[in-house]
Amino acid sequence: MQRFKKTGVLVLALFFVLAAMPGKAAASGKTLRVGVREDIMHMGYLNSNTGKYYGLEIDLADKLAEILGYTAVEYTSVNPENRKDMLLTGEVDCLIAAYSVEATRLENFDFSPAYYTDYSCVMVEKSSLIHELSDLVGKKTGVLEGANTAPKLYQKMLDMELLTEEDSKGSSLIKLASYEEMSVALEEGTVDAVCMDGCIARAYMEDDREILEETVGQEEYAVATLKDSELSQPVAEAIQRMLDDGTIEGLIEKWN
Amino acid sequence: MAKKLRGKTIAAFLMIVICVLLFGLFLIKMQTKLSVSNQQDNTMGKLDEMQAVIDNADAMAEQNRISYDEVYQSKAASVAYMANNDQSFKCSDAHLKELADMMNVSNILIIDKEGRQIARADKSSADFTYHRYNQLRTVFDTGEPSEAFEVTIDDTVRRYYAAMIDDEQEVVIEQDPEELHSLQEDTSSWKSILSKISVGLKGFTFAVSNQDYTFLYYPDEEMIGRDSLDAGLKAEDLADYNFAWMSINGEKFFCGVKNIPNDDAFVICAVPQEEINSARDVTVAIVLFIFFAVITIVAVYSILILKEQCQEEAVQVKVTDKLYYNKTVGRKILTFSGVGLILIIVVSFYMQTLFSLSMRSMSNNRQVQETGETLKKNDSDIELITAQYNRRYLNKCQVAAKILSENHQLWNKEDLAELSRAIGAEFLLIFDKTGREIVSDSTYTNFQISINPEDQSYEFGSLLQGREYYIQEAQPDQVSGTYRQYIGVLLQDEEGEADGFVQMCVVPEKLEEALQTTTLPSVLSGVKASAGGFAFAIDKETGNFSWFPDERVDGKNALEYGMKEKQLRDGYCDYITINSQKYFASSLETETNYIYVAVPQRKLMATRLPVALASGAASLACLILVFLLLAFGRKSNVQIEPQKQKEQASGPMVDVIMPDGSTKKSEAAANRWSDMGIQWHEKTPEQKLITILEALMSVLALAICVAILFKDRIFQEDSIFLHIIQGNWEHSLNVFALTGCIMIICVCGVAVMIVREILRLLARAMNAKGATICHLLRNFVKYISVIAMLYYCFALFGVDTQTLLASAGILSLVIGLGAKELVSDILAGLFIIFEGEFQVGDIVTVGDWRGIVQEIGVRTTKILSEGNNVKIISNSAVSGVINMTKNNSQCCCDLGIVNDRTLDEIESILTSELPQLKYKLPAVLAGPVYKGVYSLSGSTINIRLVTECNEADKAQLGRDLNREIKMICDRHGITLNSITHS
Repeated sequence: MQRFKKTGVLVLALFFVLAAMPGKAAASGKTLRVGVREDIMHMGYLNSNTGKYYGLEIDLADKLAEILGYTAVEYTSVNPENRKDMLLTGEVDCLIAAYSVEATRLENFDFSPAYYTDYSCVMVEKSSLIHELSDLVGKKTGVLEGANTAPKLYQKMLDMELLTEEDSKGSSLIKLASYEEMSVALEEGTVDAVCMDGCIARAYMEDDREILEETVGQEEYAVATLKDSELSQPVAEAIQRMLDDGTIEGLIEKWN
Repeated sequence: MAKKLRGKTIAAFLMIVICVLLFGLFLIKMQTKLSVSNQQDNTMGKLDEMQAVIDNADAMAEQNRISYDEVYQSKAASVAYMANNDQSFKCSDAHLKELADMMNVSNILIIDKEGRQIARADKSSADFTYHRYNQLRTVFDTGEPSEAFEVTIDDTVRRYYAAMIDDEQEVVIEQDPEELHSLQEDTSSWKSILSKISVGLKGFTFAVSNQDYTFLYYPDEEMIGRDSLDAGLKAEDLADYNFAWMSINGEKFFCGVKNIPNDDAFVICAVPQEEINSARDVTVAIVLFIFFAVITIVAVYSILILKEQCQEEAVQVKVTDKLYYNKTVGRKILTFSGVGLILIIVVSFYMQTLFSLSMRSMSNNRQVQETGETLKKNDSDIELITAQYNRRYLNKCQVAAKILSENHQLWNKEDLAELSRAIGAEFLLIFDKTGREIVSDSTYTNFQISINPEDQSYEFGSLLQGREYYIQEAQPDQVSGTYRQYIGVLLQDEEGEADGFVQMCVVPEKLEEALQTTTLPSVLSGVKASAGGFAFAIDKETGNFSWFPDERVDGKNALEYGMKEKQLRDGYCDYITINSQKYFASSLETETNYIYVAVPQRKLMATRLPVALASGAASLACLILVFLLLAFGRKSNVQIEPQKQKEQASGPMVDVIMPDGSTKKSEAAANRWSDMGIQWHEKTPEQKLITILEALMSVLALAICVAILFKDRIFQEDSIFLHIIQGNWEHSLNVFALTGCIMIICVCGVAVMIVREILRLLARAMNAKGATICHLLRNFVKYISVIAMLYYCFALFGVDTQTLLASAGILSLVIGLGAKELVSDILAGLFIIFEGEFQVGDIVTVGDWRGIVQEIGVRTTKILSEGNNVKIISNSAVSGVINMTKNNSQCCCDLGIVNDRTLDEIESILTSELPQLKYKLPAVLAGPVYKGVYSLSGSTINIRLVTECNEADKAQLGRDLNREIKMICDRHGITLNSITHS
């Protein structure tokens, strides 16, 4: 009887330890809040039917959180207009949202090494018979409000001497609020071409459309964190590690 | 000793359990692997053709698009032609509206080079000045109608075509492409492609986007658009040519994946787990059962022998100091194991054949049905397509007729040629009221519509009587022989009177192409059954192959190439031979053809032998273990237990000496026909074994019987087992017929067993007469069931039972003489029963044989004598029967006493002595009584004593009485001359 009691106590103790373990872990666990895109197929995409995110950046965020020792990841949809504010106000810990490394952005943010290189490109309707960048002269090109593709396109066209100083304002560039709007404008003909990041253009690509071979500019996507925040260093190291061991290459392969 | 045996028994029992479990696991694993690899092969075939199927559908869609665009391009060209050549053409909204209605288009506009609208039939939301519409302006460079493109504005889709009028203006046709889109939906959507691809019996094909992993197509419509990863798929499983188990909504499927990069999709062929397992479970169960039976029998038999050996010397060979090999047991185990092993291999081979064939015949049947349905659907498709093209051609011709009726200045060869080009016709002809050709851009001149009904042009004569239009079927031209189609439309003069007609000739290339895909060869060549299967067709009337993949055979007579007359029918499902190749095929009858789906035999059966051998090897291993356990042991000390041996000797078992000199146990004759079973402990090991075997077989038969009787509840609609039971296979010498026979034997056996058992119980409960009839009925049931089973099995094997029955009459005549005895025996048996000559249990004397009736059979009667010998008498030979069954019998003793004493003296001695005998002899019921003198002779007085007793005791009592009386006489000094009893 005595022995049985002892065993019982032991079993009970073991049970409590086991029961307490996940609780303890949850208590010590942290949630990484990541700002991601919800509209870029293959990068960050929200399936509205299920409320789940998919894509390269989502997988990357999961892996990052794992390396940094987070137990959970909370995704928040961001768009080009609000992503800066979201990070600045601390609503998210970091941005993994097709956010490219720019000199202007380095003031406020730290960037990890780039995990993906994309090219801005120009998309046209086949029926418009535009086949190269030089055809764009005198045509209306749609660009996204707030994105840095507009100045780049302008610069590129200047470099190619397609634009003259008289047209220096780039009046042929039309700013539109969203990618969806750009796509509709292209379809209806109110703009003759649109300029956007390659990965986004692919999502809006259709049989009737064409992406011009010449690219406008190169974009280096990296994880953005607040300037000099606690996270900056570990995130940069983790991304570097994933670049080195081929994890990121594997992810790119998977989502291509 | 007994303790040691008990230990061995337990060990053997444990070993059986372990062996059965291991063997079961082995079988399940092997069968699953086999089913999966079979399925993988099949799926692989489907995946291989997937790209082609999709490309085909895409090509078809492209073809549809081109022909659709061509129609509208020619419409645009016609309008442009009118603008240039039609005097009545007005560049006004109203006139364009009229034209649009006539031409069946949504909108017609005339725009200038910059895209400004000059006139329009309807309001358009498009702004043609945009660069978006640059495509329309290409007409000014090329002079040809522009390529089509679509623009969506506010969810309204419009397709645009343009044709040049002059250097400044062009015609734009704005068309709602609804018809095209629905056509594309029917030909190249995921649903239209994948819903037609079936995998296995219940499998299906679905598509998942490789972009966002949503279902692009799934048989359950509700699933389309949902997330496949949520449904249970794994992203890493979705790779080209990956085969894996996937779960969708909790259901498991064996899937093969094909990446279709052009469409950003994965196409997945899925087969439900239950389908793969359904074949497996029954096969495994039956093979495992046989294995269990074999190993149990081997083990039990050895143990029984070991037990028996406790009483006698066993032949033991010394292996090591402590280990001895028991030769008797070893030899018997080896024999039984060998037989068992062969049985296991045979059964496994048989099950494999059965299931691969039934799987095949089911999938063949399904495929041939599908092909038949496709052909049927094609017939209606042909009508639809033809009607569609006819409408288009008619519209062209109507446009031409309208232009020509209003512009007589165009009635010359050059202008007609231009018009033909604009509307996309080969050439045009104009006929006057009498059916004579007025003008044409063709090579025909002075053509006259024929009045001969056999001529091609005859029907166009009806246009002269006021018929509005006539569309002739496409056919080879009677004059030139080229494949052409003619359409005629009535011309009207200003008063609306018939005034000749316009005839348009088109080369129906597009129609021909469209119809091409619906012909028999194109459908059949598209059928790809798994395992190298294909489809072919045989013309019903000629018996020639109307299509066969091998060109050397195509078009030849089927019967000459190995097919048989009886194979040319609907619903055939068995082996066929074509060009000395053996195929397993299923057939279907259509209006003109027999369609077959055939699979080469060698591809079908490749796996069954290795599988059978593998299960044989596995069971061999198990049997060797049992052999080692039971045949080897420590030396056994023989303790002869005499008492037991004696007991055994008195049992129903007797030693018999076989012709080869060996001594075997056998059941005594008297016991063989009696109802009493032998007690378990009295049986020899062999008999115990047979009892166990019988029990096992009964269980199997019962299981099969239950499975057959409740098939609808136990098996699912599409299961293979049901296919076998339902008997939709060919009745000939094949594995299905064999299975059918086994099943019939099982069902009959069980039924007969039950009936016989009921009769046995009834016989016990009833009086002697009832019992006799019950016995006879049991006998009867046995014979009838055997005859019925034989008859039915013959039918399954394809023997024509009708002829068999008919020939039975002749046969009986032929063997009538031989069977005479048999018939008279059976009749005599019936008379014995119904006249009640005697019954089972009666004591009778037949001829010189006295005994108890043991059984009255259909042919013979068996009588058991007091010496436990059985006399078997043919019923017809039973005659002069003395039935001695009565309450009390009389036993007479006749004494011949020497005449030296007075009768008084003798009588007084008898009176005093006789009553004593009743107590001495228990068989005496009454008496003995002195019954007087029945004869006197010289020196002897013959007197008679009568005793009442049971008939069965009579003989023995007579002898006993004689002995007692002799002793009485000796005591009293009476000399006996003779003494007899009767």
